[in-house]
Amino acid sequence: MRCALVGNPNSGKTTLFNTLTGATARVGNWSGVTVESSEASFATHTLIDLPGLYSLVESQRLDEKAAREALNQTSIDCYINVIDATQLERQLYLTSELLEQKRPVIILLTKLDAASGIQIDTKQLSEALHCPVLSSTDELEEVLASKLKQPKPLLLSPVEDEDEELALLDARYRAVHELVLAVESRVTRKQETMTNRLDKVLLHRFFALPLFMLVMYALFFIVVGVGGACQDSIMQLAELVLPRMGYFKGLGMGLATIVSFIPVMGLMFFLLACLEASGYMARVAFVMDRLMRFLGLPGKAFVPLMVGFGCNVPAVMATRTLESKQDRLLTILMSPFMSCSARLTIYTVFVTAFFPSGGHNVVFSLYMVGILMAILTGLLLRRTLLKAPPSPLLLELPLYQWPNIKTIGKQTYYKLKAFLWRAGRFIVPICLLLGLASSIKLSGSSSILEVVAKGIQPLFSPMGISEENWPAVVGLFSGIFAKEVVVGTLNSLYVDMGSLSQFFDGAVGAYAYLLFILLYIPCASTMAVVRMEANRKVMWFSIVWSTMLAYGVSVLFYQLATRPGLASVLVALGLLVALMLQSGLRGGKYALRTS
Amino acid sequence: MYLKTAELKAGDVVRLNSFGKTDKAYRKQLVAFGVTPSFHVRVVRFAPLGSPVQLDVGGASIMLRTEEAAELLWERV
Repeated sequence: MRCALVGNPNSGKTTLFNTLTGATARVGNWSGVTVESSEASFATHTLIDLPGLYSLVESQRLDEKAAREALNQTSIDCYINVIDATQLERQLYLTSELLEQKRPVIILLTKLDAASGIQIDTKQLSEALHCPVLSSTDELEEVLASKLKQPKPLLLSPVEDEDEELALLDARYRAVHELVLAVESRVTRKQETMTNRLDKVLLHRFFALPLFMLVMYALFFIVVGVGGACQDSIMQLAELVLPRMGYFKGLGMGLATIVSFIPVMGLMFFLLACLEASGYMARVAFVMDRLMRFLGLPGKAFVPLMVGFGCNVPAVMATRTLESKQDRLLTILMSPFMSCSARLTIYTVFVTAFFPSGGHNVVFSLYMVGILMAILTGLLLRRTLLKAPPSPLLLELPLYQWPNIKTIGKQTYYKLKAFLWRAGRFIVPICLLLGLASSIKLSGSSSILEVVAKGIQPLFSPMGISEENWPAVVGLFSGIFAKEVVVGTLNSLYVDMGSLSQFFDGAVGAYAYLLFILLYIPCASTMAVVRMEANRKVMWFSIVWSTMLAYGVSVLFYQLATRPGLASVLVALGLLVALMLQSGLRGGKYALRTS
Repeated sequence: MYLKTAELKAGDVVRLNSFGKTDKAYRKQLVAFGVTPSFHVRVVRFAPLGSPVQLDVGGASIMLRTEEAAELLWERV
């Protein structure tokens, strides 16, 4: 017999699936991200694990759509409706719809251990719904072997008026409500009292935002501070060994990069899973929604962007907490503009060399430019390629609970393993190639990289990179593989030629170069995860878009800063165009009104 | 006297009077979350920036954006 596990999100379907079938697949799924179902055998039957869903009625969410389609497959013989016992009323709504699907339904209550204070009369429930209600999996095999009957729909007299779908829905809800009143008795539970108390503080009108910032800061501090420190020491260790590897320097570099991601990514996965499991992530949506709506993004999208300031790689991975595919793509494309800590190492070197005073303001301005470009990207894409169908926000705030460290630890382990394997496949070959290009000597003493750099240097002269400053171009190349290596590359090249400050066109030239560094391709690792989380097309879009922006912004800055005359002409032109556009729009409106 | 969503205050106990011109898909979702004329809804709080609003419907906490729920009309009970 083929049985589909159906239930609301987070009702414990996958856990059940794994215990029953002994499968280890799919452990560590983040809520709402799975779009495919998985199958495994249980005794003589086949169980199908589906993404969670609230209702059989249409919704925009991709995972729900997939689940609905899978439900209607003719090959399915019966539904096992998984119900979280702590939320009987809400979840029975789906049951009431399932009962009308003309297939046998078996109800399986889960999370009974968490439902102390709630008493459910399973016998009465079973009689009312005309289907077996189980409170543990022990009897499941027996029930499946017995002859299952067609269930009786909950609404005995279905609402006649087809137009009044709403009335039907309301009637359904009322029927469920009455049923629950009859079969369930509950007292206010400890968890509910605790949740109410915590929310009074965490969602307080004035304290909510500062407290949220504090949580973000803690997340940032642990991932970047602790994880980043480990990452640095791994890279430093690698730098001791790498120079001796010759042609395989790139390979070593790639492997070292992968290994250095373990602490950062592990911590990030772990902490985000804790935030999700504790119930705080849903609150983030509540607190940040208004602000993020400006970009057409849900409040939760703030978290990955924030993580991006540490490292863009975990930022891209953190977009997994977003349910809508469009929102995920948009956030993925925005996160590379968050200036990561590796880029900071480059800023500091240049700032000390070119801006003896007020260097922190320069660095701050770079961070701001990055944020502005992210917002610009977001707004542009939202209005063009990633127009999202309007999806209203209707979310349930779950009760707070202590995250189960064992489950989360397991999840982290699987996520980390998958990440290392999948990202490594891209990062290592790219680093190997770049390493070869920099160590294979062509004519005389110049490497392939140097020849190429000299060849394309003219492209960069509009942003103030002169011909003798070809190492800056090589720096940009090496920055493609990791921003951490830019300073090292520049140092090793300039060491025979003089000092860094001699080669750039003063502070203006240096700033233009930093702008480019900030905005262009963040690094091979980030691109690899973009490809992994989205697809190849999105990755190329990101590469081309960010490089175009980087080039445009830094050339514009350099030209304007070095030619005040041109600058004033351009500003005047811009104003003129804006004026004309505005009057044109007004004229257009007027024309429309009069016509 | 009917109230719009934005006019609700934390602590109010209300009942939905009409969906107004709320779009159909959204209505269905609201009903699926228990926001129907049959139930009392308690306004728990508004988010720091005024939207979304947190409602208590039969023991479950749900949140909706005040802009999207602008068409809903409520009555105090």
